[in-house]
Amino acid sequence: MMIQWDAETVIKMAAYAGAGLCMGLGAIGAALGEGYTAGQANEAVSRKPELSGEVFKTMLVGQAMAESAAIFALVVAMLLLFVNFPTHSWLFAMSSLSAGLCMGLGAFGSSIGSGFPAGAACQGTTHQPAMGGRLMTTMLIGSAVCQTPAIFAMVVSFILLFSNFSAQPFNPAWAALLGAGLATGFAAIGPGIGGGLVARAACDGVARNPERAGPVTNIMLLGQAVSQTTAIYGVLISFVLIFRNNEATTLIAPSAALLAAGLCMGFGAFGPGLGLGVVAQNAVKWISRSEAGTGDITRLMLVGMAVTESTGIYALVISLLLIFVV
Amino acid sequence: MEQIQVICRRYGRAAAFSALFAAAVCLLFGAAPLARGIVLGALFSIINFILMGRGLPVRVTGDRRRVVLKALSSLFFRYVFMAIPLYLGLTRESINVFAVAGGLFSIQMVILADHAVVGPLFAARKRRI
Repeated sequence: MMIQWDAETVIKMAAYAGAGLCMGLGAIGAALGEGYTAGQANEAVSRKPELSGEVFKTMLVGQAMAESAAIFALVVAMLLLFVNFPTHSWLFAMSSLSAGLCMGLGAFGSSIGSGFPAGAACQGTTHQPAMGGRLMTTMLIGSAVCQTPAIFAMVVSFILLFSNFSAQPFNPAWAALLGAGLATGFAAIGPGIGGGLVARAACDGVARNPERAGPVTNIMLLGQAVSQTTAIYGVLISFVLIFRNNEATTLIAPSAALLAAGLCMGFGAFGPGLGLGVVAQNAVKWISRSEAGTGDITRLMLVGMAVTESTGIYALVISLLLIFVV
Repeated sequence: MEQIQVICRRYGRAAAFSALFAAAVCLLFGAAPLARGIVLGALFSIINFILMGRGLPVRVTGDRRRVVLKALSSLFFRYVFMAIPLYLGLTRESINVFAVAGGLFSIQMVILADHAVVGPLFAARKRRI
């Protein structure tokens, strides 16, 4: 019996593959983030068993926050599985697969990142039981900001799922759509994890030196905001790839350039996003310990972040060249 | 584990009230599918949170292999469970799927609002008094 390779069959296949990748990748991140939190909670309870109730409470709330990105992935996966999209364009197969990949990769980093502050808050609860409320607030704000790259990924996934691309020529639009999903998806991983590292350092800092909670939270937010700029580059390239008018061609080179642009921005944002998080993590750590050096440390952090970010900007420039010049 | 029960009850109650309030506003504007979606999503979000809390004591007792198995099966079960309202939203026109998705985050939203908005507000009022 021959398999019928009509547009509807291929679209369904791509949607199922996209749904599987989306939920699978999202679940890996959530499991790692929640597992890290539980591991830290175990360590904290073994140190002070009398505080197990407080630690479990912090762990439960932290895990609930870390699960948010996986719920985004669940929503996109369910849409891919059960919505009958009114299109028979072959391009829709590519946009479905791309949407699934984008959301799965986007949820991966944010879920891992959200687990870090939750774990640190569990540990901090045993160091400073009286500061449990303040610690929980820092953890929740840090965790919520970690979800931003996953929200970017969800927005791009929705655009890929609900836009009508039937007027676009199949070649090279298939590569532009796939590149768009990969750009935001990969670009979200580094900033998601990097933001988590910053929030973990802030929770450690608040537990170590509660009087410094105010400046520590402010620098955490600044560090997280800067570390997420590379995820915005990914979204920018995705938007250019999705909304650009492509001319029909029989050549494979223009398609390769568009796909490469997405990959370049995705990988190019991954490293700086993580690196920016490491810079801010150390700045927050030392600001929590030294009041005198706060100004100098903040300036040094911003200069260090500017230099770290330069490789992300190179990737952005090369991606734009691949889209508009090559 | 009494603290976990207290926190489940506290956030569960707040999420239920918030969802009912949002649903009432939607009904006032004649958006019944939105109202149903929000309530359905919030209901599953609350049950998921309670399952997480109730599952904790079960998950941390027993030997290591059994604990890992319990944790993984709990995660898998809860994802399947959370997919039910989304499936209902996608297959029935009387329930808005995007409202269901929003409702699924009601526990997270209540936790954030409690710590980032309500907590600092009460602390500022206490300082003034």
